[in-house]
Amino acid sequence: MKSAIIPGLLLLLGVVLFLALGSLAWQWPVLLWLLSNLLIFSSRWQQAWLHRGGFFRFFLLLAVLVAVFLSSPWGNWLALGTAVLWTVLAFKVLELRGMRDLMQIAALVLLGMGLAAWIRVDLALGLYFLAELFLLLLALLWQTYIEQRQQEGRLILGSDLLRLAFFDLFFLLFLLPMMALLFVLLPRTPTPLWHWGVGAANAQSGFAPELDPQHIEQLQLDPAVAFRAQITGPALLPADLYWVGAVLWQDDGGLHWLPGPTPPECGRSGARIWQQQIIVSPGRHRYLFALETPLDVDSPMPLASGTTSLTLAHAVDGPLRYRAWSGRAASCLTAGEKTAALQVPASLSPEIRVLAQQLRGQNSQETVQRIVRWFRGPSFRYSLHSPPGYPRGQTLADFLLRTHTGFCEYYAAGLATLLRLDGVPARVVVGYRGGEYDSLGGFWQVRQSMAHAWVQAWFGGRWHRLDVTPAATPSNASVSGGSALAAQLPWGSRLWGWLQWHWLNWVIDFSPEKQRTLWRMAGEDLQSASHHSPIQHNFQWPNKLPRLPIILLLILILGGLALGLGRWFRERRQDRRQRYRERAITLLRKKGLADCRPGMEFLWLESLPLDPALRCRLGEAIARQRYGPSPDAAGERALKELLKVLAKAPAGDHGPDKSVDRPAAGWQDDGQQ
Amino acid sequence: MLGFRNRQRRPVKLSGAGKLFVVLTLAVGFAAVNTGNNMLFLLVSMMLSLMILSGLAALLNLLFLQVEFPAGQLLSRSPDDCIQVRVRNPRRWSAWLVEVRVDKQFSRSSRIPAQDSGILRIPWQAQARGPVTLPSVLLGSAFPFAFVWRAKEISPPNAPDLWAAPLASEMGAEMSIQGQEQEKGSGHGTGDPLGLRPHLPNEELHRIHWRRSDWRAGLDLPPRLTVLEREREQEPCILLDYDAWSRLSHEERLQRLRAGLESVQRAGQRWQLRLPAGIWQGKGRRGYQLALLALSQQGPFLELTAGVGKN
Repeated sequence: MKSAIIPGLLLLLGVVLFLALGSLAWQWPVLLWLLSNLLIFSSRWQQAWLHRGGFFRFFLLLAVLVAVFLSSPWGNWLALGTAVLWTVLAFKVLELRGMRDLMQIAALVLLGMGLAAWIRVDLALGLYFLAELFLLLLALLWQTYIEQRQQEGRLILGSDLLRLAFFDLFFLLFLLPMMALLFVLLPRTPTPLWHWGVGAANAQSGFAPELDPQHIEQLQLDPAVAFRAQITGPALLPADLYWVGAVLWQDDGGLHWLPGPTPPECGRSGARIWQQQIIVSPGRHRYLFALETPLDVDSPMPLASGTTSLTLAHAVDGPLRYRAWSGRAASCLTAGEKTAALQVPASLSPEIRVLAQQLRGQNSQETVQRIVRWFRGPSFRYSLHSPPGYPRGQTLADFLLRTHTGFCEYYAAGLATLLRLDGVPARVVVGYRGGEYDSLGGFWQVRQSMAHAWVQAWFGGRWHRLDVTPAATPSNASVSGGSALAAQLPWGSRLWGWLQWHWLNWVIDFSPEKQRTLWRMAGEDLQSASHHSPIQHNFQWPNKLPRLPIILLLILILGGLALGLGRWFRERRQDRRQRYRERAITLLRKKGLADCRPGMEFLWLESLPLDPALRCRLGEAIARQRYGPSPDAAGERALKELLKVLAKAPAGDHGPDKSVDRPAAGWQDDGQQ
Repeated sequence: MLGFRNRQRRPVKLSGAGKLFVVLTLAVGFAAVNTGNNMLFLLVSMMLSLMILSGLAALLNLLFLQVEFPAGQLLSRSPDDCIQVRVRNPRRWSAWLVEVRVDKQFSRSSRIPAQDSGILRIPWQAQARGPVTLPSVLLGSAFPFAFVWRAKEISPPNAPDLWAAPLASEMGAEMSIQGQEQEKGSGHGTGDPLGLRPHLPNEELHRIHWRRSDWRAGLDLPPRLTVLEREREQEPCILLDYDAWSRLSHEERLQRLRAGLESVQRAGQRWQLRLPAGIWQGKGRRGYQLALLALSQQGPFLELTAGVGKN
C-alpha cells in the first residue's frame, strides 16, 4: 500500500496536467503516459524495465519521439510540444527510483503547465496551477520522508504522511499571499520583446463580423463568457440589452452579410445615456461592444477610422478593457448610407421580390409594421436546427417562403432584405443580446451563446431597432431570440463569475500601467498615513460588497481556522489515553479536589459524606479513567454522570477536606526521591 | 548532558534539484519579462515565493533544536565506531529530516517529535586515546523540499564526556597476555552463600536475588537489586597489570593491556585489570566496557592538536 503512494500522486499530477492542457492533451502519447503510470504501481514491472539498461531505454525513447514527430501535424508546435512532453513524462515515470527522478518529473510537469499557460489564461488554469503545486510539493515531501525511513529501516507511518500533507497545506496558505505580493512587485516591460498573445485556445473570440448561419449555430452552443460589463445609467432589463458588435451593410446573397465598404457616416453624436466598463475575455479581438448606439469609447487601442461599428485599427490579443458610452438611437442618415442600406443583390430570388411587394405599405412606417407583423405570425418558429427536408441547410427563399423555421440570422437577413426591397433603408447588426447579472460583483456577464443578430431600419427620422426573432424555445432558454434572459445566476455561478472577473482584472489584465497606478496609490496612502491625514485612496472596492463585514468575516474565518487547527494538532499530539486521564483530573478538580497527586482522590472521596455504594462506584470510575490501562469516552461519560449525582448532594457535604488534601509527609518524601 | 549554544554561522548548500529549480525559475522569469504574459509572471512569483518560504521553513525546522552528547561515551577506535548525539526538540512542532554532521560523516533522522528527542549515531573514529575533542558539528536539514541543505554550526563543548580507548597492540593478544600472572580463584567451590551484595553493572540477571531486592520506590526509581554471593568454583583469573612492562612507554603499555583485554573477553575468561588509577575486574564481556573506559581515562594523555592527536 505504501509503495503506491508516490505512483498515486504522480497519477494525480498527470490528471491535473491533462485537465490543464485541455484539448491539447488529447493525443496518443497520453495513453503511453497512462500505461507507464499504471505499470509503476507494480514494482516487478518497473524492475523489469530498469533491468533493460540505459542505452536500450534511451534509444527506445528516441524511436518513440520520432514516431511522435511523424504523427504530429507539422507546424502545430504546441501540439507537438505536448506530445513530446507526454512521451518523456511516460519514460521518466517508469524510471522513478528516487528524489532525483521525482525532481525531473516535477520539472516536466512545470513545463507542461507552462504550455497550458500558452493556450489558456482562465481562472480554472490558476486553480490547476495551485493543485499541481500542492501535489508536487507533497510528492517531494513524501518522497524524502519515505527514502529516509527506508534508509533507517523503519516503517513508513501514515500519521507522518498526514502531518506532511498538513504542512504542505499550511505552506500553501502562506505561499499564496507572498505570491500575490511578488506578482504585484515584479517589474513589467511596457513593450515585451516577444509578444506572446493568448495562445491557441483563445485565438478566436467566437464573434465574427458577418452573418453566417453555420457559424452562429456553433457559437450559440458555447457557454464561454464573451465579456463582462458594468453599466452606469438607466436600468435595463436583460431582454433590452442589445450589445452592438458589427454593423453589416452588404447583402452578399440572401443569408450571407458582410460589413462591406463603409459608407460615409455622419459621425457619432447624441446624448450619452449609458456608460459601460467592459472587459472582454482573452482572445483575438477586432470589434468592441457597446449598448444600443455606441457613441464614444475610451480604449487604450486606437479605433479604425470610417467604420460604423467600434472596430479596432489592429486586432488585439489578450483580455481587453475599455469604457464606452451609448445613446438611444442615431438620427442621421447620409446619402451614402442610404444607398448602402438599400442595396439588394441582383441574384435575389424573384419569389422574395414578389413577397416584398405583397407586404409593402403606404409609407415606410406602415411597411415596417406589416413586415414585422408578418414575421410574428404563428407559422414562424425558432429552431437552431435545419427543418426536415433541408439536411444541407436552407436558403433565404426556403426560410421566407416555405419553412418559416430558423434562428436569429435567418430572421435578421429576411427582415432586412424585405425592408430593402420595399425601400426602407435597413442594415443588419450582429452582437450579443441579454446578460446574466452578477449581484456579487455588480456586473453583467455576456456569454457566447447570447450571440445574436437583429436589424436597424431607418424610418421616422431615426434608426429603429427591429428584432423579429421569436422567443426562445424552452430547450434554449438562455439562447438569443427575444427571450427574457435570466437576470440572476445561481449562487455558485455568481461566485465563479465574480472570481473570474477579478482574475481577469487583477491577474490577466495586470498591465504595467495598472502596476504603476497601484504603486502610486500605495505611495499616496503611505504618505497620507505618515502625515496623520485621513487616507484617501482610489482603490475600487467591489461594488455592493460591504467592506467591514467582509473583513470581519475573513478575520473570523481565518481565526477560527487557526484555532481549530491548533486544537486539532494539540489533541493529536497528546496521547489519547493521557488526554482522558487529564480530563478526569480536570473533572475532579471542578468538583473540589485540591490535591491532584496520584492516590489523593481516593482520600478525598473517603472524606466526603457519601453513600458507600456511590463512593465505591465513583472510586471505580476514577480508577478506570485515571489509572486504568485504557481510559475511554465511555468511562468519561460514566464519571461525569456520577459526578453529577455528587453535585446534587447538599453543598458542603463534599467540600475539600483540608486535613485530607494536605500531603502526607511520607508520600512527599517518596515522591521526591 | 552537555548542552551548548550554537554559533551564528549558517552554512547553506544548494542541491542538484535546487540548482535545477533556480535555473527553471530564471528561465520562466526571462520568458515572463520578454512576453509580458501574466500567467508566467504568476508562475515566477509562485516559484520565487516557494524559494523564500522553503528557506524560512528550513530555518524554522532547525530553530531551538539542541544538540547534546550523552555522557560517558566510549569510542573503541574500531571502524564501526559511532558517536551518539542526542537532538532535543523542545518546540511544539516536529523537526523533520534533521541531520548531524561531524567531519564528513553524518546521520539523519526522519522525524523528531515535538518536545521529544532522538539519538543519532554518527560513524566517527577518534585518532588519539583519551578525551575526545570534537571537530565542528553541523546541525542541518534538507527539509522541506530538498532544494537547499541548510545547517547551523554547533561549537562543541570544551570537555565532552567522550573518551577514546587505546588501540590494541599489533603484537597480538597472546603476546600481550604473555608473562601476565594467572591467579587462582580464592573460593573453594562449595556453592555456599557468602552474603548479599548490590548488583553490579553488567552482571547477569540470573544472579539477582529478586526476593531481597528493594522495589519500594515503584516505577519512579530503579529498584535496588541484590545479589546473593556464593562460593565459586576454582577459576583462573588473568591479571592484566600496567606495571608488568616497565620498559615500555605509557601508551604502549596501555595498547598491550587493550590487546590483552580483547583476548580475555573473547575467551570469556575471568580477568583483572590493574592500572595506576585502580583495579577493574570482570569475566569475559562483563566489565569490559568499564575496563576500556579506565584505559581511555588513564593519564597522562598525549598533547592534542585541534582535535586530532597522534597515537
